[in-house]
Amino acid sequence: MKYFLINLRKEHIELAIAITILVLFILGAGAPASGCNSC
Amino acid sequence: MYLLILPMILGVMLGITSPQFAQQRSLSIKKPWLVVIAVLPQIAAFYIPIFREISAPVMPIILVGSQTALLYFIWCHWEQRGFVLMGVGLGLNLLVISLNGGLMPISYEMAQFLFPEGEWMQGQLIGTGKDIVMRQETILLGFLSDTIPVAIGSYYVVMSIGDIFIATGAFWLAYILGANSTRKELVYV
Repeated sequence: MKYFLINLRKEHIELAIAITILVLFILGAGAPASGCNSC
Repeated sequence: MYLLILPMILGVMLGITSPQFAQQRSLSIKKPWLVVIAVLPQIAAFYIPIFREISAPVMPIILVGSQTALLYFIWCHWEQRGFVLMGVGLGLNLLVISLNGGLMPISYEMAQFLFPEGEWMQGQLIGTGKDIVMRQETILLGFLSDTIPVAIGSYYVVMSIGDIFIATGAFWLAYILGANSTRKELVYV
């Protein structure tokens, strides 16, 4: 059980890091322009 | 930018709920620090007002330098399909940005689509983004610039072909991440 909890936490941290890296990558690589047509 | 992050959220959710379609068992991310170092100058230059004013003259150098570093990051992951899609998208964006002075060109028509009340001049920057207003006929490889209008309610976005590749690659990678996050715990339960 202890091993499961440690492993679970490790997996989730890895997932969070991977998602953060992908979000940062999108932020840097993408170049869409956005606006508010009805504002 | 939110429109590019949305496919990622959908990908993770789909991966968690329907992991059976994921052929790749794990996602290996090498040199993650490279992404952080490459993107930080962009965040400062485009999203933080104080730095934005200071960095205005060198924005094109920051954008091209940062995206070139991100292209190297992709080079390190060329064997993974999702990264290839993102790399093609980044390459297309970087190509049109580099050919047109270092910022993403957007036509008057598309600028008007985003802000109908605005009056746009050649060389004007749009909002806090990376876009610069140019006449359509002066844009080199104009079809790679921001030319695809998307409307979601009152939120309006103009995307490039490269952005669509990036969004597709992000969805793919997020799906693998979501799918694998459910598999590994099952082994130890």
